[in-house]
Amino acid sequence: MAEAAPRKQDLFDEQFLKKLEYLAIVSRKVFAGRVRAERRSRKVGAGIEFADHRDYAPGDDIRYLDWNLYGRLEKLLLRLFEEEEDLHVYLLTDASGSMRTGHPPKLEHAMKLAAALAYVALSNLDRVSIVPFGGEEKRDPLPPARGKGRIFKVFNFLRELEASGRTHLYDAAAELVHRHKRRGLVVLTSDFYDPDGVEGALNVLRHHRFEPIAIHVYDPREARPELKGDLEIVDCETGEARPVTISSKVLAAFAREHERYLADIESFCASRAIPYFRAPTDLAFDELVLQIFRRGGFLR
Amino acid sequence: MSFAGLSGLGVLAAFAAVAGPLVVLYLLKMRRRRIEVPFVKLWQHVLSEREPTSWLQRLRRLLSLLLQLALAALLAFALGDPRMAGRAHDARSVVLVIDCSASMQARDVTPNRMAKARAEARKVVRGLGGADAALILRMDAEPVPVTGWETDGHALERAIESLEASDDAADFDGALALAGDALRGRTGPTIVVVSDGALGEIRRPPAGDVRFVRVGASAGADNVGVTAFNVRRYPLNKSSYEVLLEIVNHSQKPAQRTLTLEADGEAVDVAKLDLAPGEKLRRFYPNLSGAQSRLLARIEPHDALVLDDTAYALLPPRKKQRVLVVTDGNLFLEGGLLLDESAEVDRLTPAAYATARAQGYDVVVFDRFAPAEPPRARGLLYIAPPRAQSPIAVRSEIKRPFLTELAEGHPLLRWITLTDVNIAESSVFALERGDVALASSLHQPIIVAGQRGGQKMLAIGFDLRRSDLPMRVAFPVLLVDALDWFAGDDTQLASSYRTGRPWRVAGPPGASQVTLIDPAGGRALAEVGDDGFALFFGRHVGFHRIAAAAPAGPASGPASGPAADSWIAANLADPNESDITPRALVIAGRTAPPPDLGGPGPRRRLWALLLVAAIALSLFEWVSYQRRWTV
Repeated sequence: MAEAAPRKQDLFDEQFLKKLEYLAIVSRKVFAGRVRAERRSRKVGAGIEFADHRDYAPGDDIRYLDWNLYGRLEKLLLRLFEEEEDLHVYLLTDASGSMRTGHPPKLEHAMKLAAALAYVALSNLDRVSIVPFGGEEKRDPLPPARGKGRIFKVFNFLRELEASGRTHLYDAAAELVHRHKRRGLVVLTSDFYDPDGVEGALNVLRHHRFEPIAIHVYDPREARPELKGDLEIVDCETGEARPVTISSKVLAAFAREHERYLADIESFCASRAIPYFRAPTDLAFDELVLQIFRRGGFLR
Repeated sequence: MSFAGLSGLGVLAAFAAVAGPLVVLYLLKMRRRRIEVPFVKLWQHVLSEREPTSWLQRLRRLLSLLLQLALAALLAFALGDPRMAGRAHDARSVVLVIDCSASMQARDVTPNRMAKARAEARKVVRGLGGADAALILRMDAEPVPVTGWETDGHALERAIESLEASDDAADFDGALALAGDALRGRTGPTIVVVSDGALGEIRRPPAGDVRFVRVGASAGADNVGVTAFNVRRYPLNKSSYEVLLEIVNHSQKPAQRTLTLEADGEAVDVAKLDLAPGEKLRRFYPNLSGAQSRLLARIEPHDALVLDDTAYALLPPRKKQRVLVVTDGNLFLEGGLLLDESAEVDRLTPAAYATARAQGYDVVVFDRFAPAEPPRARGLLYIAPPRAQSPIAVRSEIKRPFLTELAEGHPLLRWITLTDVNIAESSVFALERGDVALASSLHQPIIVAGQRGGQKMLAIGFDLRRSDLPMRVAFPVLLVDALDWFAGDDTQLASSYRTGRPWRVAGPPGASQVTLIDPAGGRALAEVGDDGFALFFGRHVGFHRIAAAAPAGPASGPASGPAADSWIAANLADPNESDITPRALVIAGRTAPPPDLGGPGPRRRLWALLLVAAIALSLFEWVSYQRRWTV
């Protein structure tokens, strides 16, 4: 831990900031001409640009009835306008004990990703909130912030994160949807090492009309650990121990199992139209952020 | 099965010492290394597919334990050096008699017979059965076992490799007697003789089955050798000498040789010899003169056996002696001494005698007189010494003695006949240790030779004038013999010795020990006896140096000064050894068959096989561990 502290201080240095600025510029170029930088929502009312009609339902504001169409078609149709609104970006970041592992630790990688995404979002005038989770006790989130000037607040918040406790993805997702009424983008950054699975967490986000994005952080060496012989493996979160005899065949099987685990999560996300990104620790965070932009998952 | 290393109990103890801790360690639960992983669930899924059943796991652990125990058992067993006992009646005791005599130097086979004999002996050892024991016996003039009863083939072969051919003859009878003694009480007694076969016929079969391995080629075994080479000075003319030479052609065809006789490196005679098959040629060279001392006879060209192509001899050095005669007048005595041209005689009356007057003389003769203190001369001759002053105690007097016992082999009585000598009366001497009674009358010594304080002494108990001895031829010869004996110039001393025999070598005056230095520089030490001679067992041909190892003291060697080194010569001089034609070995009229040692399987190094098995097992254990067949 004595070595981890100074590393964390250096995590967001000037070089890092330069890369963030570059990402912010690149993100504008990537989406230029397609959509505006701001996010729009289809809502009745407040907007200027007509978007669509829908059937009138009791309780709707009769001011938005299209009387011209009623005259022609004798049908009550409501005019819909695209309304500009602030995008809420929730960076749901895993800080459980398993994120302590890896070279560099997966938490550091996740923190860089969160910082990068937060910077881009803040640059786009979105509201960014960081919601860490891990362990039995509730962790205080970073309240929604807006504007580039708040990035240092984000950095400071991330620096304070410590990896500990067990992973409860579902609980974290449920907590988020209940505490934050404003819908928005939920970037779930985790190694997804939850014995209860990842599906419940993503589903609860979807069901509450949040838009989840899954970023799977892992260390490639986790798939091929340098182990041999008779060992007792201990889960770093649960403390569960198990005697094993490691051979090359066992290692090969574990590598396949690890890949299958990643593929299962990716497959689930694909089936639910949830953007899914693999974030190995040996992949530079800025490259990953660019991948996310190119896939268009970050902005609709 | 028997164990040559640890005993059976020792093997068990060694196994228990290793197996005990092994079992304890296996019984104790192995503490596994704890490794923290991020997500055990992934491992659980992998391991559930591969999880062996508990009985399989136990079997793996048991297999691992069994492998370790087997490894320990193999090593413990190897430490025991197990031997296959075979059936009791198959076990044989083999005495391997290897001929190391001079004839084994013959080069009729490549590189020589000795190397061939070693190779044949190795074959015999390698043909021994697992239960057979063998003993290597070196056969030369002094057969000696070079190993004990051995079952270790390597030890036997090492002993065989150390054998070299000697310069002497083989004592086959001695070797067979030794082999018989070694085989007494042992099962399957067998004697295997590896030789060129010039051993003569053995009429009395030895104990045990005798097998014979013949070494040597019938073709090319031609040899012409010097079988005798002697030289001597004439007794009364020591400036001249004569040489006897004997050369034998042992081959089956005529031989031409050049004979060269050299004296101190200079050729005395060169002769072409035409020798018929089997011819024995004797050459006699009389009346040779010169101051030379080293003689050498060489026949050329060399043949299969080089050793007997050269013979060595030494001519005793001529010695001039100063003799002082202390007498009131004795013509017989003085006249007899004048006959020896090597003697320079002075006369002194007893009244004029003083010890100082005798200084510088080699020999002092006292006639009817004996001083209170003997002078420091090399030899003292007392004739009828007065009883009171006699250096050899006078026991009694005897009237008209007649000589009944004579020491005929003594050099002082050489060429002498003393029977029928008339003597009026004589003193009877009391012998001391080392004294020799040269002539006795009914066992009463009246002529005695001995040594006192390193001085040679001859005492005649009767007055010469009152006997007819001076009238006989024996008297001057006795005086010459006495002077020669005093001077150590014993003409019976061999001019050359035969190898493989005890050598009786005259030691330097006063020396208590002498060292024999052979031509190769080898040294042997021997005590000088009371008679002034040392005994060596000579083994090498050539000139040998005799050096005094330790002077006896200041009183010794009165007229000779510091002891000087002397030389002797030695030759093979054995017609049997020079005859190198390979022959069969005949025992009691039956030709000895070749060895048939295909016993109960070849001698196997079980411990080595066990060690190999242990290494293989260890390798298998490693592989099985790597592949997780074992834990």
